[in-house]
Amino acid sequence: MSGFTIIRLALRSLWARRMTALLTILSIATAVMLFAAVESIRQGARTSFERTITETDLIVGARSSPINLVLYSVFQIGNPTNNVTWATYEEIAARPDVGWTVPISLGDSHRGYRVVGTTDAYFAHYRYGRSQEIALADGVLFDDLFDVVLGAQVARELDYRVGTTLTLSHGLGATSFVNHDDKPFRVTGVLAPTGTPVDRSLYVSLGAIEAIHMGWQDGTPTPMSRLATPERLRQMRLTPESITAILVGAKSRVQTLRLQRDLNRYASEPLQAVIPGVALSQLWNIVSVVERALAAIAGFVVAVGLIGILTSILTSLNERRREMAILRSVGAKGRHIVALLVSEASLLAMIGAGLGIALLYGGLALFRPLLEARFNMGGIARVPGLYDLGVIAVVTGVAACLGLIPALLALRRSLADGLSVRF
Amino acid sequence: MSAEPVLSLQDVTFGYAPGDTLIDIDRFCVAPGESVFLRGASGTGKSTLLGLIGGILVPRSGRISLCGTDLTTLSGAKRDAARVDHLGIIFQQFNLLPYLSVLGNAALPCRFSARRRRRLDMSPDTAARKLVTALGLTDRELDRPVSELSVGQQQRVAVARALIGGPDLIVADEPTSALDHDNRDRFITLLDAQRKRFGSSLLFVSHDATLAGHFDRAVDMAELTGPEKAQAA
Ligand SMILES: Nc1ncnc2c1ncn2[C@@H]1O[C@H](COP(=O)(O)OP(=O)(O)OP(=O)(O)O)[C@@H](O)[C@H]1O
Ligand SMILES: [Mg+2]
Repeated sequence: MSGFTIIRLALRSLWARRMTALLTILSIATAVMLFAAVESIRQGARTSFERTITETDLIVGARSSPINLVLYSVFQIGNPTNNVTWATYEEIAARPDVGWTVPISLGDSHRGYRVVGTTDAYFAHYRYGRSQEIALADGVLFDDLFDVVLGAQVARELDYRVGTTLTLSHGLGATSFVNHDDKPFRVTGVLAPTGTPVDRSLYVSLGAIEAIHMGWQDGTPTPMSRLATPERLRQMRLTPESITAILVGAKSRVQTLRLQRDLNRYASEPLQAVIPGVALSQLWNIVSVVERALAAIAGFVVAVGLIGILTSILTSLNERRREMAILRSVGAKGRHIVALLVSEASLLAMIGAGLGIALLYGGLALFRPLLEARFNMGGIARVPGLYDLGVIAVVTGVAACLGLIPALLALRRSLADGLSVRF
Repeated sequence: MSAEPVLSLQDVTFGYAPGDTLIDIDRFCVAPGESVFLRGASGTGKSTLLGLIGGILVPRSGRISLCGTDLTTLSGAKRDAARVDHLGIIFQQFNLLPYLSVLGNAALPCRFSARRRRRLDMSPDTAARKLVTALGLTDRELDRPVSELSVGQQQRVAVARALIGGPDLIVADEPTSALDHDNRDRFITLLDAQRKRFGSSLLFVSHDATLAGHFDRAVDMAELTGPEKAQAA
């Protein structure tokens, strides 16, 4: 009697009860799909998150907390505490160990989306995911003082396209009472989706930020500001006095740490230089409590699914006493009865888990274009990997162990029943 | 008979509960080729006795031998092997696994016993087909799910299963109680003719004394075990 024959018997027996078997398989499949989905999205989200900004060696800003700096300069969350003077920016940019710099100026918004004042260097140097560059979906980068480039989500949600005109609001809130109505901007380009905060930003030139605040004092316009018409402003050379943050690329990676130390001890003003990867990891660890709770819940769902297998086999035992007696009468040994029920539990679990993984990756493949438009999906696997095989193996193994319970019960019963078929 | 009995019981006692003895048999044998009718009222322990012979139940004391092998000295797994090697078992009804085909059911003992398989000079499926055909099932019935067969047809498949690979002893536990009178006689005649072809002995258990005429010998459960056995011996 080979194990193969027992498995064939188990399959036949399951097929004869295919309705209940199918339901059990589906419950396991759903549970495993959920679990694997949480896991792969968890892993993927972490990778994607940590790759929100790559290849920038340091983010430099006024001294506050590293996480705060990353939050406002990269994630457009929270408020900058202080600024960095333009003179300092120029000094840093001129350092021999600095390869490139991107100035960032924050403080204005449009209908809740933040406006980033920067230069062309931003688009040249910003990288996310696996070294992906920011690309234009439509139009061109800003050229004129009153040009604006939109992140993908801004354009989608507000239904803007190249040629749309819009005005900026002073401050970062969604409802600002102080507006720059007198200086309308024209959309010249829309960026392709990145799945990063870039999608939720509007980009203008540094000069534009200066221009709209020309004649302002302490965050409110003075009568002077009305003199600054767009035409006049275009004639002026607009250099900011200060900016909010600087993205820095070191000449060579190995110099990063020394550069960071130097900038943190900057003499003329208190600065702070942060390695984005490190700060992003720290940030993730704060968020990951939720993530771990999710994983635990998904684990429990799988446990419930496995108990479902146990229940379905236990309830089937009564009506299968005859089956066991017949098998015993034709020579099935005790271990065959045990093997039959254990393999039944394992088969249900294996088929269920396999189906769950297949459904997950099928679903991911199907919805990938949709998801990619909104999230940075670079970190999420495309095909089942070792981890998923491991999930199938563990679920099958646990089911086999659980299967021992009904198996031993059936064995004891078949001994008590002897060779009689009672019903 | 001089040949070694296929089945012999000596001083066998058995009871389900510790204090109470259901079976107490001094001596009972079935010779090779012999057919024995075992009659007994309901609840006298006939099915229990079959459990003992089949090696699923273990006697409290005494010896039970199948073809010279003492079952009581064997391990559980060896008793299981001895059962399928030497016995063909037919139940009262519901003999078949609903999820196997007619031939799958009939060939089942060959899946568990190399000895039964070896005694065939053809594949188990061919042997099963020959047997069920000899027992009067048509090709059309072979392809039907077993649950759609009549009770009489199912019992004949059970006979085929008991006979395949020519075991030494066929044990039938009231196989005819679900059949009408005509079918019952026809079934017993068929069973007897087929088992003779294989040279298997037959132990036929029933509470219906009118069947006794079909067999070489009739034994009453009450004489074998219980209070009346002293008089019978
Ligand atoms: N597994 C068991 N545990 C305890 N007692 C049992 C068990 N099986 C049978 N008995 C008892 O043993 C006695 C004999 O039962 P058994 O089934 O052997 O009778 P039987 O002669 O085959 O009866 P029938 O003709 O009705 O089939 C009965 O009193 C029954 O209640
Ligand atoms: Mg009985």
